[in-house]
Amino acid sequence: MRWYLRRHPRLFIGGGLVALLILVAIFAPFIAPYDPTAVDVSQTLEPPGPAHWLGTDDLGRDVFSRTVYGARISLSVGLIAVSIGFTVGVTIGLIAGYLGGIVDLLAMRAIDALLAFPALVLAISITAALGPQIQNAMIAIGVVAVPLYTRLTRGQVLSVRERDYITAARTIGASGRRIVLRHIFPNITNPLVVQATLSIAFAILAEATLSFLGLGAQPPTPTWGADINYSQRWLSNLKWWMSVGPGLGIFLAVFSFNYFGDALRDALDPRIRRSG
Amino acid sequence: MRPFRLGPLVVLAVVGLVFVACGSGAPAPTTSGGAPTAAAGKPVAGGSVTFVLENDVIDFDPLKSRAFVDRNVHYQIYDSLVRIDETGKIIPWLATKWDTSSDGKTVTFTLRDDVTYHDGSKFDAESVKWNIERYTKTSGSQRAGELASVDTVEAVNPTTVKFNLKTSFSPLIANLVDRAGMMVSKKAFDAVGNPDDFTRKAFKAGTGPYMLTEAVKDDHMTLEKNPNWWGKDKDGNKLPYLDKITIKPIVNSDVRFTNMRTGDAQVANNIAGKDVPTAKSESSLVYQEKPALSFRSLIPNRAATYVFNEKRYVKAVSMAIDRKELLDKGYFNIGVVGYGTIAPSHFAFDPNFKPYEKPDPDGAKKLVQEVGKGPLTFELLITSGDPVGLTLAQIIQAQLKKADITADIQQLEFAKILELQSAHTFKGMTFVGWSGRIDPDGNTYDHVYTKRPFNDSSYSNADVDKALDEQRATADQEKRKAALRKAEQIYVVDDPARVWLGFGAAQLLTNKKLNAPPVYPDQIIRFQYMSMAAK
Amino acid sequence: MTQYILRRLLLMVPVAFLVTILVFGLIRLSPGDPLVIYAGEERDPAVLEALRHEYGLDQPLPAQYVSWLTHALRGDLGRSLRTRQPVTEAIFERFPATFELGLTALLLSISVALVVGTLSAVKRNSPLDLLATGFTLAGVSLPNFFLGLLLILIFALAIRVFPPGGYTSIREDAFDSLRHLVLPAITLATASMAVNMRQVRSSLLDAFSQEYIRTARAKGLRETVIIVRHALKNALIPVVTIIGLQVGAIIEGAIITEQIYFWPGVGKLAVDSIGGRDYPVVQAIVLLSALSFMATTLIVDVLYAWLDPRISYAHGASS
Repeated sequence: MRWYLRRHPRLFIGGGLVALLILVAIFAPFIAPYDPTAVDVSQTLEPPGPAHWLGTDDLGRDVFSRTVYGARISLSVGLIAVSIGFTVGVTIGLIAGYLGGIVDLLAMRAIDALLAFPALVLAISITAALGPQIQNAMIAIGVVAVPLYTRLTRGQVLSVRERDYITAARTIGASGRRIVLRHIFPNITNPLVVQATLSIAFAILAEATLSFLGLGAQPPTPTWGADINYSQRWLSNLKWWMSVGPGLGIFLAVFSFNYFGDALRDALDPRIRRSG
Repeated sequence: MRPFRLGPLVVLAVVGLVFVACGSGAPAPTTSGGAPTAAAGKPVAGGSVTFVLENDVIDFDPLKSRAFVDRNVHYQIYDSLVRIDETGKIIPWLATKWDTSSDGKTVTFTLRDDVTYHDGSKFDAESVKWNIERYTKTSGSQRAGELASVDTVEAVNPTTVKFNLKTSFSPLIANLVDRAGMMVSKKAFDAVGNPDDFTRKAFKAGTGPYMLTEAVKDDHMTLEKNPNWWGKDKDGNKLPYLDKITIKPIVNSDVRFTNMRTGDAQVANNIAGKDVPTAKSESSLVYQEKPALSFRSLIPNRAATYVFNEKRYVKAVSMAIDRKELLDKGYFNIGVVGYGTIAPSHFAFDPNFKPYEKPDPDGAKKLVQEVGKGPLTFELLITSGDPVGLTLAQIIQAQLKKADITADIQQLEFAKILELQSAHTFKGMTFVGWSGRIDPDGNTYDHVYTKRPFNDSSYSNADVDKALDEQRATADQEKRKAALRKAEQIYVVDDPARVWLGFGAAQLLTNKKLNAPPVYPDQIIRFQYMSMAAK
Repeated sequence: MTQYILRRLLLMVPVAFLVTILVFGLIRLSPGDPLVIYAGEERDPAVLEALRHEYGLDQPLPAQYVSWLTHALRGDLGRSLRTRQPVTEAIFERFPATFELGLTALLLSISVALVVGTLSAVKRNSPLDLLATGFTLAGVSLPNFFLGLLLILIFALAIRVFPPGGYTSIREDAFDSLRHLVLPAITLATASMAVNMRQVRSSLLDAFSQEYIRTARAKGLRETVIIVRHALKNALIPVVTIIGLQVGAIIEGAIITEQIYFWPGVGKLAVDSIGGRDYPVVQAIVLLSALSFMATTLIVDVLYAWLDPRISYAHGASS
């Protein structure tokens, strides 16, 4: 294990960052010095200082606390949205890839339609149709992620399908489902895991974008994107801390997952031999 | 070029401040165009300005216009039969005088004889007839409601037109101040043909001080001086002074304000509350403000089976809210505290009507206990993605907490909130504003009368209905005042229709290189009086 | 090859059809009545009913869809419910703004990526390389709206070098137009610049380790010649694919960038129209972007085959 980590130090760093993020989200109540939803009209728009590390917003709430709690929403949306996309996408990909024929044709046309639909517009439309709530943002982002997993899975299935051990399994009468689950699926987990990690990064960005447009979690729940939206009007008065806090939050979260995903990809892909 | 003189500008600033302070006491309107006395020396003709407007104009045709923002342009390119002065009093415009018969069912207007449309066609009684008939008879006309009392229009002779009404309707003249009284050139309308196209391309179709010559969606509109306008200033000089106005629609108030500060734009009439202190201290800008006709309110759903069907609950919320704090922290002190629909510049305004002057959370608590169904909890709906609304809602939530009333804030998409409102199925309260009308009837009737289009609270009170009908039928100002105030006492205090929070402010921000006209309570800029300051 | 292209074009039809059904369903499912939303301050029920009938919104949904489809096939995309402007006109009016922004961002992204990516690959593990690699990861991790707001804060509000938003057409005033273009273009280009940079670098490094490079070096050719003539050409193949994908990403990114900078482009129109339930506008924009996305993908795939003689689509490989 230690040898493995020594050969792939980035895996260690990336994994550590992600773990840290998850811990911050879980232990937010212990890390945040104030209640993120406590309105205090006498302390509005305070710049960063010893009492409030990132200052207060226009309702007197502590920005640092809100940024810490914001991790909860972003992470949960990221994880759940990707799970939805992953589950639905991989299932369709497996079925289409293995069965082929008309099933494959129809499924791939539907997936093409989803892909051709501009992703952000699709997410906004779904959230508009279902209502601006956190669950619907998860569904919307999940739906947007489906095509990627379907194609990835299907591609892998197609390339693996004709291999000898699959033909052998079929000859001895193994059922389709068994073949898929026992033989095909384990061979494609590596790229899927890498993709999932990177997808979480994308999902966190997408959630931030949706709540920036007012289509995410409801107040007074602190969410990074919405907080940036609500503080945008104060930028012209040069009160920057309300936007920078949540912005840094998004950046650090997305960066961690991207870094970890990259490191995973390099570690799991035997062909990588070049850059550091 | 005359040397720049500070004196006239100081006088102008003082005059402006005096207007703001009194809100009245304007000079008596003169015979032509109602030009107020601007103090800054002899106005210079010529010059162009850029006006940043809060939204794009969708309809240049008054018949189709639905949005308040459209009027900012309409007032420059069209003249109405009558207008208001800066105190809100109705003055002659295209009509020099009018007489109402004793039964109130006939109104005869005498028209100016020196008016031509931008395209050269003549303005006369036939034109008025054509316009009013177009407004009342076209399917889908947005002005039909305002002119519902009009039965027929007769062009007696080129300068006399008679309106025959179905019933006596005293707010008619007030309605003719705005879009329902705006005169459009039949020749220009017929030239375009398709009404859907005319409303986007109504070029040179009015009689107003400026002509619309260019309009690019979401980009800009160009207004050019009408060399043949009939209006004159108090010295007999021809108006308008300015040659050209470029209007840029900019939805974001920060960008608008930045444009004003850099001098890229010189006129704006909607400034965010948080920026007003900067505007006042900026040396290159002149800021004017006066209470407007617009009101701010919380609408409860008072239909049966909803929590606010119980009138004591509405009253309790009204008692618990601290309107002064809300004005201060939520609206940045822009506007005034108010309790009903009758605005400070309305003739029926009662400055002593202050039913909820001090917040009374204990009284509210007692009232809720009196109802005996436990603590009051309700949904407070606001539009998602709206920072100003959210701030207001959270201040109110904190205020109501002091009276043990719980307001659960729900953010919904604007479309969804409108849907719930129109269907009268929203569960608690929602924020609604109204841009305001010159006659108090326009702020009240459709909002509290049983089953009227803006009565989203499903409010119904027979005494209120009776009083409102009464004030419509009589032309006697005193009788109208009494009836309006009687109704207000009921729909604000005894059986509240809504929780009114206050009135907005009419603002005008101009670059000091301009001689700015005073700000009017309808917030619309009278560009015909604006001129470049003498250098 | 022609057979392949024809087959792809044919497949675009059912997919486009599916897209229109999807967008129609989604936008009609959304609660809210555009007539009430756009009614503004005028709510006479008789007028609303008259307008509803005039716009055909009182018909059953399938009938409305068929009517829209038949008109669309003839090139008539209807009129906006908000402004009554023909939708095609509305989109064309806004297209130049989006095009200016998108093209500038694309050119910026590609040129910086090519230069820095190449230098980065050539001088591997140098400080430049490490900086560039760091930027690559940071660039895709920073949400573009946040980057945009930061740029506005620093360069437009604190130090007033650029305007904080808005658009001036190039035809009107070239210099002012450029002033307004700088910040939005940088905002839009950053994310794709990062992706392109990484792709150029890794493709080049891949190419460098290939046989034919060693042969060229053995032959004694100058380093620059090797890079430009041999490595770059082969490295361009995956780069072309990535760039093709990045065009899509830029169009996506434009939607948010236009919101922040109040850029009157097609992206802003799309977001505003969804919020206001302006059905014809949303349906048209989605259809047109889907078609252009599919066209771009096709062009990229064809270019890909043309650049690399080893790839052939003759065996009917599907997408």
